[in-house]
Amino acid sequence: MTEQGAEQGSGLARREFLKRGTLGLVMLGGIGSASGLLAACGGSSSAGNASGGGSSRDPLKVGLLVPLSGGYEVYGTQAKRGAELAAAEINAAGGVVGRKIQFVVEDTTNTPQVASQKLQKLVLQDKVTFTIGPQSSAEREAVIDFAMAHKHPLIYYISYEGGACDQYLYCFGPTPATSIEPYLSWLIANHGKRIFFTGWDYVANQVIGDGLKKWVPAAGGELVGQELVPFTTTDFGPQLRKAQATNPDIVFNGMYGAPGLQETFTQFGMKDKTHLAGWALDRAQVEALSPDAAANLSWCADWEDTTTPLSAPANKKFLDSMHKMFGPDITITGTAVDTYVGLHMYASAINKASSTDADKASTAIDGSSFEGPGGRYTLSSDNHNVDAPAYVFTTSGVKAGKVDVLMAKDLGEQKAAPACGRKWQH
Amino acid sequence: VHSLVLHGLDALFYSSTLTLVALGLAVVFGLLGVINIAHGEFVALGAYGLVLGQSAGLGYWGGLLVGVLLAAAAGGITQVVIVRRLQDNLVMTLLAMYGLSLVIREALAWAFGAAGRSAHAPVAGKVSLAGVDYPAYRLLGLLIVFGLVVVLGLLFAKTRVGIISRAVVENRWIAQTVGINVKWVDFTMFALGTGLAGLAGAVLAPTVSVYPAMGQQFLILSFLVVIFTGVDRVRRNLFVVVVGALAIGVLSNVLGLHMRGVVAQIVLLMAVVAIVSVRPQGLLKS
Repeated sequence: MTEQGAEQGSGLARREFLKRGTLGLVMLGGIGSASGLLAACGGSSSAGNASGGGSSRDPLKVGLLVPLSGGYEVYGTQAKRGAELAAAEINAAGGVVGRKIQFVVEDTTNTPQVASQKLQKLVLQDKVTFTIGPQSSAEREAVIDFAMAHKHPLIYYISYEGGACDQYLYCFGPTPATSIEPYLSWLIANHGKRIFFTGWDYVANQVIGDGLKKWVPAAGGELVGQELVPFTTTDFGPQLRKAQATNPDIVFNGMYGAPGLQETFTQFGMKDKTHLAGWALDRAQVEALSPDAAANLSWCADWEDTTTPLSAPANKKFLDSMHKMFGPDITITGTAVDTYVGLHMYASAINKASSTDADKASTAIDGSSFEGPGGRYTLSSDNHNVDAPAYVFTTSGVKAGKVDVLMAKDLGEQKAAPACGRKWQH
Repeated sequence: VHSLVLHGLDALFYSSTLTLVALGLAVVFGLLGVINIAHGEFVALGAYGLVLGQSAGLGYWGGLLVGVLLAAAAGGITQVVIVRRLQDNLVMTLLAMYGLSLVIREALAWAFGAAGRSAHAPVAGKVSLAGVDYPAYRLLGLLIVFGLVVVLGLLFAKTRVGIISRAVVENRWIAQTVGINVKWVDFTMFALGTGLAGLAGAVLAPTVSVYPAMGQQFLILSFLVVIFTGVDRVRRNLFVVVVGALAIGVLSNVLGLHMRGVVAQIVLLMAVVAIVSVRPQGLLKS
């Protein structure tokens, strides 16, 4: 054994620490970006859903470009399941223009560059007809120019900040127009006027934060403050102390995947005076909380796995099929529903147009409707976002280890944002 | 005054958890000269140990023990399998520990899912203290950390274990010639350091989101604490990190209260960079 430590002067030790530490941190960064590149070159997998038989023609290849690793794969997995159920139903009913849907699955690793490279592979190499995904706003921005230039349709399933308006980008997730503006009136009527907004500091919450300055007064409330924090935040204390100082009736939480915020809110005793409302919350996230933190929350979306299932006619069949296909104990969220709706609607549009041509399908899908698990979904011909049902959901607490999620109010069908003024090609 | 006490307690709680994390990092560096890039992942292991223990019905204290043992055991294995073989090679150790951090993170994601989980506090409600109602759990966390620092302090100052470990730091070669089993000290101290990280993770878990990459931020913060305190001083006396942790904790809390989160982080890092360049020996007087 060499005895390095023996004669080490203290000055040397310090330099050593700084040197080693700096080297280590630099390496962290370097390897981090390198692993993104490596992942980009990594394997891809094909998952066949064409169960053989029937069609004499080739299967219709569809890209499934979702994060299956790298964080937020919870959502990617939901989207994948929703898509697989829709494909099974479509294939059983004769397929798309007589062809069975076959997925080519690619993992975005929740990284914009990877999403972009994988989409190019799907379009140029696999020659898929259209693609489900990608997921985050950053991924969407990274692929949009390429997709639109190649007239490659994207089924965008995640809830997002709204405002996207491209001919071949079809958005089926909740947006502020369908799940924040109508929700605010309910919040103010039931919990009071003073609203404080907090969330992760990224594009979606910046857009929503700006929007709230108009929407809250329009709904008769007052926006008393807002605080966005970086994704690396581990201590939610300061932002909640700031909120507390404004004496709010409602804290409107734009953080997903941050149970620590709800826990800290509860530990600070803020629940006595203040209602914690969430955007992009769902049963899966609430189930991760401790019982006290899980009680008396609310959120707004087009669908939720409520304790008493929503009464939309298509809901029972959807729930039964999901459980049959993926197991009785799986958690199902709105992301699965929106992907399911999106794939059904786009497949119907191709069938209606009798062509996989992106322009013809675009004309066919304009204004078309689908009876989904949450109710009626209609694709707005103005901006290719979806007019969707909206409900307020609340939690009453935990019963027998399960969070009790109630549908508190049916807000009715909500229109997507107004037209963006672009003309589609036909 | 009311809000000052409140913010003071917030900062104190945050500082106390930073103390534990930084103490673990300092034990491993001060005694073994190893920069543990995977230190944050041992914090995460501790937090997941609590989540695991609680879901297995062991309650908070059982879960806390699971968390500490999980992190300490993983640390012990790491020392034998990786650190002992590479200790003399700076770059290889860093690479190996970085690799280990990825392995632990992915293993946690595989075992528990990538979504945030939460652990349950053993006590709910609030306690009246100095005119404010403060969350009972955070006060309990403060007590745990305070008690632990005292116990550790006594361990190092008064016991044979402490004398032996200090002898190894002072002069590894002579320590060995007088019959101290240096290998055993290395092993024990590495497990102690990672066990402290695990304890920090378990104490923090009920107040933060538990997710596989949660340790990353603590790695950076505990590095800041050690640099800020002054590396030489930490090497000579581990417990000065309490001062550094207090400073960084209070600074981070005050900045967080008065400016936007992103700006607060930038200012904190800039302040540390400035301190290190003006007083590279650390802010404290030698």
